[in-house]
Amino acid sequence: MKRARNLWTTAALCLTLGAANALGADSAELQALYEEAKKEGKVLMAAGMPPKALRALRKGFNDRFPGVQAKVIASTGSNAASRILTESKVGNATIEVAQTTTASGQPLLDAGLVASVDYAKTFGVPREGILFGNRFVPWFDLVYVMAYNTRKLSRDQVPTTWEGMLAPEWKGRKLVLIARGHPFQYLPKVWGEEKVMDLAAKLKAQDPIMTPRGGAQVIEAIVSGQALLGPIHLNRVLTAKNLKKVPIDYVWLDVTPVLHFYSYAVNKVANPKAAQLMAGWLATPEAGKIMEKHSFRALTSLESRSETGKLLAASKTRTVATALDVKTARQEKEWQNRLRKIFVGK
Amino acid sequence: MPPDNAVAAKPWGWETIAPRFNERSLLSWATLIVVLWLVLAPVVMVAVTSFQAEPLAHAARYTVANYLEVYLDPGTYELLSNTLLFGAGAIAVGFFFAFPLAWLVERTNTPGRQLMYGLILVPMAIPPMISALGWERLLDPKIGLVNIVLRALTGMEGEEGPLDIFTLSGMSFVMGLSMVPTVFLILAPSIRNLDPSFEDASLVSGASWYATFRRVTLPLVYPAFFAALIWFFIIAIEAFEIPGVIGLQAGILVFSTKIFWAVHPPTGDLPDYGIASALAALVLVLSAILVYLYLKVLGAGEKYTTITGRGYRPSIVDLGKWRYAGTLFFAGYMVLAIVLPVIVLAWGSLLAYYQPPSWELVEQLSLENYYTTFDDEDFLGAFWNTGVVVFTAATVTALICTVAAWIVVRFPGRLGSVLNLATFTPIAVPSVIIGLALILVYLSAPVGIYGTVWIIAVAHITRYLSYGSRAMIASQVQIHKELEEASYTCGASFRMTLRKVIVPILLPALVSLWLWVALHSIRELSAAVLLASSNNTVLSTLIWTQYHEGEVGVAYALSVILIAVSFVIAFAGRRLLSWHDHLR
Repeated sequence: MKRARNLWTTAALCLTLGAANALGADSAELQALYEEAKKEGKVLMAAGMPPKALRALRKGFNDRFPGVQAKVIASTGSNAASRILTESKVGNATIEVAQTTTASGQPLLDAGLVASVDYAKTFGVPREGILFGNRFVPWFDLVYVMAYNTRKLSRDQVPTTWEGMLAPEWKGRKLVLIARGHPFQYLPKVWGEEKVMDLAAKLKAQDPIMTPRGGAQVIEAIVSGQALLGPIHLNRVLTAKNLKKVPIDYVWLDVTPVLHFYSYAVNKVANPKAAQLMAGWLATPEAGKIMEKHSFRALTSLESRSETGKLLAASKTRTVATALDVKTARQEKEWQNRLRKIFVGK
Repeated sequence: MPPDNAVAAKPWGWETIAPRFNERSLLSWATLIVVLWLVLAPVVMVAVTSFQAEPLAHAARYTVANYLEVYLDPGTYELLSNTLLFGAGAIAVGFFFAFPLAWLVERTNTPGRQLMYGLILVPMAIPPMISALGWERLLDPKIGLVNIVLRALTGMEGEEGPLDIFTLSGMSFVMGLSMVPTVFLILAPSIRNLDPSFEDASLVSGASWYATFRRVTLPLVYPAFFAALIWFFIIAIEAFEIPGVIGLQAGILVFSTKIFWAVHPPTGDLPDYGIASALAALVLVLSAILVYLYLKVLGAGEKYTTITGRGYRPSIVDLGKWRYAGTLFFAGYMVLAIVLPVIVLAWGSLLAYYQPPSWELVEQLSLENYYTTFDDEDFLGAFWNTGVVVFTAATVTALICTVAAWIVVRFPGRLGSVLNLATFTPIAVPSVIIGLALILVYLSAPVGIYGTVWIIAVAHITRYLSYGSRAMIASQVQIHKELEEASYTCGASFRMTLRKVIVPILLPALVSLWLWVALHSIRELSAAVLLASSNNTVLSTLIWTQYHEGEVGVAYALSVILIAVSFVIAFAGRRLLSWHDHLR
């Protein structure tokens, strides 16, 4: 009887602890931040991702933190940054949380507009990925692959190297490339500047379709048959492939550029604590799952346990990541300017 | 207000108006203040920003480096020559269609004129970027629908051709087609308001229809014609979407491409508003020269006055058996401007991603994108916001431009000149600079419109002042002031003269202007994107977001819905004009 009572007591204790762990896994710092954020009551986040993913993130945040109402708008990182800088010249910025790359976030750091938050301690985010004195916290990665039209090409026809695009069969508007030079500016770190510029010049001679904007147009060109193949983000391909009977697939390339995106909280805003709460939450596995489910965007590190991360690991491809410091970020910009001039002229 | 015969007898200049605080002068001054408020912010912004090294930095440095970088670069002038060729081609295509169409609709008995007026405005509803994409889908050498059909019909071998959109002439063709509704709207009221007695006199004197058209009709619509040329010359310099989508793929760069690269740096870096403003400054200077030329035309405005107090009744030319040729010409334009692009857009809206029409794909067609659109909680909000912006922008622009044009035409003194210049200036300021200026102004001004739909409406009003004022000036210059003087002489007050004389005569032009602004406002993107917040999403920004984030089919579905809504607006406007004609 006594033993049974002990068992019940142990079980009750386990349940209580389990519940406490589930409900109260939040660190004391997070709870304190949440309480302060509740007093502000709202936050505005901007990010460049599909509206349904933005809505899902909004709902996820609002469910997780009742009392803090999140709103979202679609905006690229550079557009959000320029608006934050502009708005903060005359008052508070209205965008309170946004996405950035190392390069496009520099002016915000220079202007002292990014809040420093101990994301590792508060949200349990791995400390090694956080940049610039707890200001940029890893949010998601974009991984480049070679996409192709499955009605026009079989998998074994598709080049698996960057130089494979120089083969004669891809001459004459068969390839689609982003006119801005993406993602070639990351390759010099592997092959050196001159080799990449030479590759770009030879690719230009292949008479590819040059799309002025970005991923959506590359995917549309390939799906429509306007082009047969081109390098593009994996998440775009997976989104298209997930829809019924869209003739697109991908292969891994010999070198895979991985673009790191970060979230950050702006400090000159009406709701700074709510902004910090959201910026940190976006970097958690909980938010990561929501985002990957709705947009196939995810962190690719093994710790993230994302599907994209697993695919990348299984590919055994060599990766080259975007800059983690200011000097390299500037170098990448210079390379990109050279590439753009090769692709589209002056 | 008592009749003001003395005013009619004297030249109406600044000196004569300033001391009088009557309704008319108060209206004039109020209009001037509103226009200057709207215009000065972006213009000052361009001027200041063009001299800043890092405009977005908190402590901006002043420099001439932006000008040196832009104007010492030989590439800038190379691009300008491309731009001029592109613009000339586009204007040629635009006028080739628009002038005959305006004449057919307004002055002939071509069957289906009412429907034609309603339909001709619909191409305006297709956002230029979507229109360019539509034409890319039609004339792409490989997958273009027209090329596929031509290859099948002619038995041509190979996978490409015979037509290619990725050429300078291809760009000009698409741009010209997109200009037709605007050229039409500039020319139509002037052609409608022509006093037929001039043409009758020519015909009675034995001149043929062709000679009458060449020697009487054309010279009488000269101010409107010239206004349209000025307008489109500048539009061609600033237009980006069509050169951006088609030209960049073709390797043909134009002036606006450089502004685009400055505002959307390829490095994903912050916009370089300094360079963009230095480039915009060139457009401002060009505009100032064109305004000067335009004012010279206006100075001789009286010789174009055809609606006078002696009687005015528009007449209809009987084309006899040729009237069906007019309908065919119109139908040809409509096939090019609407039917073909809408077919590919509608097809695209039934698929997840666009693929060329084929029987194999028929089983994949679904209304899924429309269901997704209507289920989207953002759609209804965007729809409502768009309605508010469009109605506000169109109504306020029409009101301001009508009054401003009246002052410019009736008071050709300094006040009129200042207003004329002020209302014309926004054409030279890229939308994105207008948006930026509004952020700076309304964030600090205690007006409380920042982040709301009203700030987008203000951006649109500013943006469309130039077109509105040109259109209204071109219409009002044809109305002799003796009509107003007669009204005052008969004892009518200023308000009554406005209500009973000026507005009824101007109503067709007013409605046309309202429609033009509404149909442009509904699709405007650059400023709307920059000013977007969570509370002011409009349909154009929703399309942009969906397209760029990969929901391509949904973006096509939204475009089709936008075109349908625009058609309803255009058709309702035309019904209003018909009703007005009927009353008159």
